[in-house]
Amino acid sequence: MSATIVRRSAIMTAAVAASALFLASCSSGGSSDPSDSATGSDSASAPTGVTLVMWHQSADADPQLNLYKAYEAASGNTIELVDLPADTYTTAVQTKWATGDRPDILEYVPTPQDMRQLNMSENMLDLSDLAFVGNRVNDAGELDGAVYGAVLGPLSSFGMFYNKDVLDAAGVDVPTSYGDLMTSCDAVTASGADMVNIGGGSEFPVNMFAGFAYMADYNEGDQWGQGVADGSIKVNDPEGPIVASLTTMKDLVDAGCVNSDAATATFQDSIAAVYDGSSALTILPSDFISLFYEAGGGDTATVDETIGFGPISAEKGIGSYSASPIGSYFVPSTGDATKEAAAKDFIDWITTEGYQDYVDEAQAVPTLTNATTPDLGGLYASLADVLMDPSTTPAFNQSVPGFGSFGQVSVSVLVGQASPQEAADTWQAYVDQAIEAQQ
Amino acid sequence: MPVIMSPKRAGLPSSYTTAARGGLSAKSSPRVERHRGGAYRLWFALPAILLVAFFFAGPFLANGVLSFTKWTGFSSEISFNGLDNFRSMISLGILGHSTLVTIGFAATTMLVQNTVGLALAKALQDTNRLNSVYRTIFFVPVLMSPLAAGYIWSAMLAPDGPINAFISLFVPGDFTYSWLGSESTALVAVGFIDAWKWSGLVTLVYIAGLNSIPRQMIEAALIDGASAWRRFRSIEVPMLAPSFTFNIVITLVGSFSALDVIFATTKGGPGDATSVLNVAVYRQYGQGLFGTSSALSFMIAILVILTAVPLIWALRKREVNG
Repeated sequence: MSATIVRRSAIMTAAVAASALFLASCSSGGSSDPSDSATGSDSASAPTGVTLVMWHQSADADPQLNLYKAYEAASGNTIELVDLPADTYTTAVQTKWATGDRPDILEYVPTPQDMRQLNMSENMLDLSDLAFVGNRVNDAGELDGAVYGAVLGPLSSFGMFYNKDVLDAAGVDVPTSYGDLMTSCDAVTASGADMVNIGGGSEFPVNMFAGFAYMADYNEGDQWGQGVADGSIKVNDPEGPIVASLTTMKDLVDAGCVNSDAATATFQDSIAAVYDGSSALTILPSDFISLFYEAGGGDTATVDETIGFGPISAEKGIGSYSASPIGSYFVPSTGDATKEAAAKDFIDWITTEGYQDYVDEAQAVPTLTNATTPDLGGLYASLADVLMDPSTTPAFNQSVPGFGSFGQVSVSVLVGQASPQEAADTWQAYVDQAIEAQQ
Repeated sequence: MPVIMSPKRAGLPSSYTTAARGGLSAKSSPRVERHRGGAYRLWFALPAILLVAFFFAGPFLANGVLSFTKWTGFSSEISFNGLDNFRSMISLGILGHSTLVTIGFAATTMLVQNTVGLALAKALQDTNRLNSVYRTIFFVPVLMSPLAAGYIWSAMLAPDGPINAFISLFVPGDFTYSWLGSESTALVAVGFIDAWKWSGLVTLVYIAGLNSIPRQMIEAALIDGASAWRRFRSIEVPMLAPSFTFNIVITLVGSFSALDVIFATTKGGPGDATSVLNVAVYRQYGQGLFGTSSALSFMIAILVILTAVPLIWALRKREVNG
């Protein structure tokens, strides 16, 4: 049994267990005792009064920011946040990293390819001796047998945010396949809305549309991604799913089913367009659920009435998941023993004493067994449904070298600069370059 | 009216001129004067020499060396790999494409900045209160953050932005062209944005150049009956040669290193339509491929040298001949 299959099974088991615990908690009055998380850092040797620099995503929402504040209050240490832009996060980290700059704590993508880019074995502390390692429900943050990242969740699912009113007005069902998008397009556009909104100006939403969601059908057990990594699968296979995905996107653009400003719109534009009903749906990571609630001015009931979240893929209507950089933390090796100890104390605290409160506020399905699933509602409940679905597959990019160029090549199809096959050929060249660089 | 007289005509002793030029006493021997004068200049030059050594020569040489290495984020080892990085960039089509895009961008910004800058300089040449206000207004974009300029123009040029709204007043239906999202206009659009950002500076240089032209020459031409266009073509343009040299070289070479405005508007897209060399450098760097990134960066330096040196030589020669 592959590690990925074990991981997926573990997620499902944990999710089911967490749900059962959630049901039990309902009858016993709810969440854990808040005093548990108010006792501060347990470790007697943990340094205090230390200032820890953390590079973090600017998209960190209240649950993450409040977690940092809670740790500061509990430990006496200070966390100095360095904001890095969400839409170019890994590139921004790489750029700073290559100059030799190091934070004390790094929020980062815990997938194998992204972790390899930071040369974990030499640059990160192995966290295997911390308590959370035994509580993990998946192997995210683990590379070559060592645990470098603490993944708090929420796990990301790459699915579809849709406006229920727009679909109702057009008289169409919620799409589950890319074929449905084309089928429902005429009815939706006739009602005055765009069928699909893509924020190509931010680049990564094109990854979501042409990659993550479509490819969910093809990456069971991460077999497709691992095949690309070992060279047995070529991304530019004319009969392969990447060319098919890019072709589908081009067909939708040509048919007028995509917003006319797809090349320049940002992901924020997409969220606004779906919320205000000028577009029927957009495909984005579930990390942005909180941004939809923000779009509704905090009126969660109205947002839940208006917006839905669900899986969509090439044909099967299944979702994909990945550990997100949001809520995933690493401790770079800085050579400063005091700060390294304080950073590990941070990891230990957020994965133990501070974890339940974090999960509750983040409305997340826990990724550690020492927390129970909170009372999920609205979009978060829909996300949990996708994550608990046994057919959900790992995101297609996790093991693919050279994935960083996929956004650029898929945008070239979106704007008509390259044909799907030409774009796939270009990406294959980048994949080959990355494979060679890792040898 | 004050009369400027030479020291000799003013009846001052001959030692005055020596002291005034070199700051030395009249009793200093010429040899000592030369020696001390040379050291004096060297001390003034030393900070600049150190700055250039630390912040230009050192990094430039290091970048040149790293261009020929396999250096990635995947390993801490750096090993020489000859021309592999350049071959890789050529085979991926990055080097050729990004070089062409860079040249196209630089040519656009250089032409627009100098054309607009010269026109504005002519319009605002006279120093009066109204022109001072306009000079300030046109200089404001120079002081603005390039990223802010990029974001502002992204909004202005959005399909539903004010530029298209204005055009819609004159064409039937809604005009929703995506200036920055179309491969055919994105490069020119970002070139114009960069030119808008820097034209105020170019304008000031041209105003200074125009105002340094002796008025007697213009007045003589007026007496001879030369038209405004003839005076501009035959007197001002030749006399502006040093300004042309400075502005053309600075705008062209500066554009080779452009990144911020492009990043704020298109991030090198759509696709790779505005992917200048610095965007390609950024993308390779961001994927942990530092050796190929250094190779591309080295190519920018080569491109600047190959362009700037002959250009300065030719323009300076024109200044002398003119």
